[in-house]
Amino acid sequence: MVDPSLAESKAQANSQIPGEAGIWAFVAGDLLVFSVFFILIALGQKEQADIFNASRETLNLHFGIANTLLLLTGSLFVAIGVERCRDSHNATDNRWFLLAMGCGVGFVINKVFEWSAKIETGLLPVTNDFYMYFFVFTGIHLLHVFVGLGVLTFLFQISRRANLSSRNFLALESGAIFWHLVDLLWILLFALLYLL
Amino acid sequence: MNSIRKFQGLSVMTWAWFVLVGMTVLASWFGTSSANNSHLIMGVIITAAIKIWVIGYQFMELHSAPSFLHYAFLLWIVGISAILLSVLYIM
Repeated sequence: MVDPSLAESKAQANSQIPGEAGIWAFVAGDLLVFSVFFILIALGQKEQADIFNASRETLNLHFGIANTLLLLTGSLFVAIGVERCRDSHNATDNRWFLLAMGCGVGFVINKVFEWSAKIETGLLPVTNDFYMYFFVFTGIHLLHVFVGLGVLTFLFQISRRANLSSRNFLALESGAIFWHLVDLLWILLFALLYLL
Repeated sequence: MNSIRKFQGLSVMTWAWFVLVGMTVLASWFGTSSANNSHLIMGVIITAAIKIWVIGYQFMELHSAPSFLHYAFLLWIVGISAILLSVLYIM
């Protein structure tokens, strides 16, 4: 009979960190930085509730929902892409990363339309604290999306290879984790800026 | 080799996506409903926290990661949710 504690420690040893350890250090750092952003929005909401609620009324929720769905769908495509590469890799696996890039580009286009509409009606970062947070924090997030698109291009290139090495798999997993981080950060930004 | 995890014929990743989309619809309903403000805040933050956990657990593959990483992520979700709710309710 297998000693339960031995079985548990074996299972523990078999579980591996997905991707490179370095990507998780980056994830931790980014989560801490964005935590400060999230707390600043909540403090603003508490201290200037009237201004924040009135400003939120001027946002178009449909843009926020569409962007959330685009990022969630992009994340699904990336996750399927990594899974397929790992399972029975073939030359068509790269299409999942291409689809994810399409979602990322859709997010950027949506954001450009949303920002343009706000700027045309005179709603700028200097309008009030809500709009300052809106433009600065979603702008920093948009930079993450641009970096993510670069990462997805890299994953697309890797997944075109006929044979993938263990280093290739690590790169695929690490890149995917970055893209999921972009998705994850948007979830809370969307909740705090559009829904409260 | 077929290591893709499936449930009811669909991959677990696809089920996770359905859950995330459903939670997004629910959160948007909270955001547009005329519900009591404190219920709205609680609903919006908790649905966001659950969505983040699903992304981490399924898409970022924390389900197969060492437990310290899984728990650290869970701790961040609980911590940031608790701080946000404290700021919005108590401060």
